[in-house]
Amino acid sequence: MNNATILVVDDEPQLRRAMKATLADLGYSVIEAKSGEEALQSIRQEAPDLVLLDLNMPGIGGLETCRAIRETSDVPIIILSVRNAEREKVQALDAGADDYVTKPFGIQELLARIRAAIRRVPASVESGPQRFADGELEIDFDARRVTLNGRSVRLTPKEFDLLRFLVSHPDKPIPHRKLLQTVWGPDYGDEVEYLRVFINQLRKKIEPVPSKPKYLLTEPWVGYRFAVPGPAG
Amino acid sequence: MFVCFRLAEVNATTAALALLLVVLAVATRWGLSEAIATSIVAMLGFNYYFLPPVGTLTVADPENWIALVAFLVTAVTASQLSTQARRRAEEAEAGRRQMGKLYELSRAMLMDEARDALWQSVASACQILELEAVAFYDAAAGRMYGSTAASGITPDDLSHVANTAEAVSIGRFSMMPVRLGASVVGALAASGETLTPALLDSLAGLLAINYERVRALDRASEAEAARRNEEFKSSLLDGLAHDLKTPLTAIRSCVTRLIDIPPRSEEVRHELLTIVDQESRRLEQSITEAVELARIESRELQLHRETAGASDLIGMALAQTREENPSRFVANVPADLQADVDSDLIRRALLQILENAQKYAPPDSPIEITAADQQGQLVISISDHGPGIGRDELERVFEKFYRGRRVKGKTAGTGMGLAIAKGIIEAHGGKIRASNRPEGGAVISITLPRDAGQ
Repeated sequence: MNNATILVVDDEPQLRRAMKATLADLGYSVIEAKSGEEALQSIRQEAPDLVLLDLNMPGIGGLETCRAIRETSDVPIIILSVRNAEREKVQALDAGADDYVTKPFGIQELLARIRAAIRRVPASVESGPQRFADGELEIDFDARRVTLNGRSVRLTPKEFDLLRFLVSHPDKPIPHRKLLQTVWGPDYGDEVEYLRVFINQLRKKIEPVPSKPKYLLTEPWVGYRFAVPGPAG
Repeated sequence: MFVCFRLAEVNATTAALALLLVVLAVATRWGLSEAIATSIVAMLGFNYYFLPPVGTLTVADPENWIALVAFLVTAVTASQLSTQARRRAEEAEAGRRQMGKLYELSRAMLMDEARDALWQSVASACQILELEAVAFYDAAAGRMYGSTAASGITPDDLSHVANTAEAVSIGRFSMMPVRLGASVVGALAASGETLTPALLDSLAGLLAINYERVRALDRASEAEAARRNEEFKSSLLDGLAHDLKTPLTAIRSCVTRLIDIPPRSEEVRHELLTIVDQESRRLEQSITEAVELARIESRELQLHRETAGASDLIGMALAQTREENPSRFVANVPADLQADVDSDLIRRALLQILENAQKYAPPDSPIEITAADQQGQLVISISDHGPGIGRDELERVFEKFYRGRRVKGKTAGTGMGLAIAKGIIEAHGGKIRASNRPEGGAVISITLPRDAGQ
């Protein structure tokens, strides 16, 4: 029913075993890596659809692994960690993770996160244009391609979905909850820090001057808005 | 000389002047008595060879007396002047030596970072300044630090000196208050042949500075201890969180899977339940470890010694590691090596060390285990190819809840493992030590007495 391949990266053999046992007969194929190094290799060779990544590992730790994966791959990454501090979450998201689940977790919660990470915002939700271009920034929604001043920009699937949703509602403030539920899924809504991190990353990638955004504007207390620069701009 | 003068037909005046120079030279070079003796010999020679009637010792002429007086006055004056000069030079030299020694002492004191710096400072003072005895009394602590020969000094005497802030001499000891700024921090007593008031004064100054320095170090180490304590607590929480939450994560994901989405296949159901069973045991083990460490720490450990083979001990520990790739363990253990130990406890200690190496070294990198007899001691070393241990951490890795800087945040662990191992080894009267291999990687060595009777 799902057919997605999930790479479980954890130095604890029993956790890999538990993930395999809980997920394998639900239609996911589970492959394993016991270190960051192995994970990188496995991603190159087997191109999984999702990575469940433990933070606390010997060798190159989870955060490093996450960054290294992001250098070459847009595969969705869910961090699994025993630490529950806001700071840790933001660090992980900053390193390029799509989501963060605190151990121990119930299977329903994990499944919801997995679905959210793999899911793409369905085409029917979009009502916006197929293309956006203003001379500096160019977005081709069909080809999922973004260029800034002629230079190609790489976005992770979540970043792309977030951008697409904002662009398809130009100049309209979108509330946090609405963004989270559309892009991540119906189980989300309170993870405002996710948006903060993802918008920041998007700004770094598509804003000519990330510290002075002109496209992705914060609407205080409300959410975010995609501003279409005036024709004079 | 006189004969020479005679033969050279030198006249009497020239001879007298030359003799005067000789007297002067002797006075300068040697001293008063030698100079007077020379004057007399010179006078007699002068009289005999030069003054008429030549060839006799008759003092016919008052001129003769004048010559004698001139020789003597020259001898006395010159020798006094030169003695004075020499004494001054000697004093200056002694002062310079003393300065040098004081400098050496201050260096010795300041280099000393040990806890017993005050003991060290009186010992160094004694040795470097060549004093017979030195004692320093710390007024705040009410404690006396005496060198070995300071038994004649009592803390009461020094406390009195500190209270009255007046220098006194009791027996052969000179005592004076030690001041730091305006306040008296203690008192100093010293004795010895080389002791001068100035030296005592300088020593008091040095001791005051050192006293203040030691107190500052103490305060700093208190702050450091408090900081470490905080570090312990946070790594304890980290480690406990990981050690308890990892099995809990496996249990909870399996159990919720069984409840929320019951698997249709009996095989999957069995696998999920097996994991729950194993992980709950592991959870129990973590808790047991914590309890065990607490017991070892409170010294409740009972040893049940028996003769055990080193290869058995190591073999059992290896079998218990949760290692997926057992071939990474390379053991070199003589078959006949035995020791009187509590096998169960030693096996647990070895297991902790092995698991530690497993955790911190890269996966699949070899872990080498060697055992040998060294002068009746069983020495077991476990070496890995991990990041090694920082030089300042070699002692601390055995502290409870301490986790290495190079691995912190990257690796699971409560920081209890090596502390447990240390507790067990020490209960056996053995030693545990951490070091680094020259080519990288950590080595943990344990030394156990092979014969319990030792």
